[in-house]
Amino acid sequence: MRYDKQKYITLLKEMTLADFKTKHINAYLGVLWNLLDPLLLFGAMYLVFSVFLDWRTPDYTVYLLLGIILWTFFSDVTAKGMVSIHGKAGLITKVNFPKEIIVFSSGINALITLIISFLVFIVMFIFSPVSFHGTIFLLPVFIAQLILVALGTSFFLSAFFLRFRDLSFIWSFLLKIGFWVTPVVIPLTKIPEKYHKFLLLNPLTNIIKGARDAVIYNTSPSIFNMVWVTLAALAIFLAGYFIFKRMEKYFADYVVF
Amino acid sequence: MEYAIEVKNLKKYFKIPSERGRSIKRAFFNFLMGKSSYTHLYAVDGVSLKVREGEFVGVTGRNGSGKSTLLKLVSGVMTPDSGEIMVNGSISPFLELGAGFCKELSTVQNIYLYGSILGIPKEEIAKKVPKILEFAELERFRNAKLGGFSSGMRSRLGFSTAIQLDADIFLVDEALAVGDINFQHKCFDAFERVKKAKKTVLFVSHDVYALERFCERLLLMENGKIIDDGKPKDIIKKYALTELRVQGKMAEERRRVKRNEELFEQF
Repeated sequence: MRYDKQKYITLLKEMTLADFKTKHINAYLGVLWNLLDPLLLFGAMYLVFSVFLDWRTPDYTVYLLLGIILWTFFSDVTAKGMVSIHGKAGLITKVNFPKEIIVFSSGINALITLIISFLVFIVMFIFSPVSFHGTIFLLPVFIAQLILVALGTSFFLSAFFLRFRDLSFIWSFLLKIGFWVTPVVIPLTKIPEKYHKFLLLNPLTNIIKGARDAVIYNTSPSIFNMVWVTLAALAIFLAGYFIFKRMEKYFADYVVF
Repeated sequence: MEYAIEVKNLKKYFKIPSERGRSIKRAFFNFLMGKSSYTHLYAVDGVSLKVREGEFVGVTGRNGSGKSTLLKLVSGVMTPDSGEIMVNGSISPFLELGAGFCKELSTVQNIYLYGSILGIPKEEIAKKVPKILEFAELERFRNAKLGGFSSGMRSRLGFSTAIQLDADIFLVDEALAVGDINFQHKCFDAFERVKKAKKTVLFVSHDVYALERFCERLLLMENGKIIDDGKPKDIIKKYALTELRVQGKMAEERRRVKRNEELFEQF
């Protein structure tokens, strides 16, 4: 069955809506539950690093919350994206349709959470001593980079998850390491300078650092940095997508087990 | 002569993993020991088939003979290991009715979801919602969550939505064994219309009664191969499809009993 652009979008919309409703319809707090997760993490980390350890960098509140929101988005998209294909086994073995829609729809759902988290962030931003800088308008660029990396990773994970179920354990392990290595909570200035070049090989570190610099410190990354991170993000997305599309036609053979 | 479906020497091989499962650890040990943790099976083993445009072709055979796999291959749900499939026209799969239904959504929302999975444009679904609800006899439940429905209600909704799709080729897997006696009559009528509209249909069933009634041609499958191809009456007679006949008779008997019961109820 061929899906033209219009049918494709209709299916994407319906599937996203169905996923959204399934997740929230029976919870009294609905979407708000998604907010609680990053906020609790934020509270705990703030307590440890700002109150107990007194590692306070200027404007640590905004610094920390922004990092946690962006990181939560990444871990949300990849962890849910990984199992999304497997979760639609009943559909995949019965109807032939473009399966990347499943991953996209799970990504859009995480994006909705991200947008709501940003509402909270804006409130906190207004009440923080951080002043408003024009560079904040670079934020969508970093978010776009993050979306590309997250979706590319999800494509890769969801396709391989069908063959190797260990991946879910491996991935949750890697996410935990990534949280500390990126680093999300530890200010980069607290890490010895000599490790920075290794940390900055990670596109996620660059994206989160770039976003923080733009929002808090009124600096934009160099053009060179911007270009290579964007290209890396695009490469991750395209690589994941093409691997996914190549493996797609055998999904029905693996998904039921 | 145009063929709607043309299949050449199709093969599909299944590897069914053992209960010990599949993982990196398993793969590693199996590689070391040179063992296989799979049960191997040729589900479709060298099938060649030509279906003319507008032909109503039945497929029957024992469980596990490869009928459903053949349909899945033709619909593109599965990819063959070897062989060619050429399909001329758009396909409507009836492989399982209501695949992708979401029990948290209402009836109407599910019509939109399932319709969009089948590739029906949104405006068209919107136009057809009342018709679908009427056909499924679920008007009263239009805003009810699907989770509370009986399996019969669910399949009725699936059938009613799927039948709305205007495709050239219909792939049907036991879809007529749906719902109560009333609904089965409506399904038969709907199929009669599909047949009259000269659509190409590949119809998998065990119901001899339905096969004889609709099909111009019947394929008999065994162990992944088509072992005979001809007029339904001849094939059924020739192979004395006792198993099937018993099932068909039973279905007919059930219908008769139900009809009588309904008559009684009227009095």
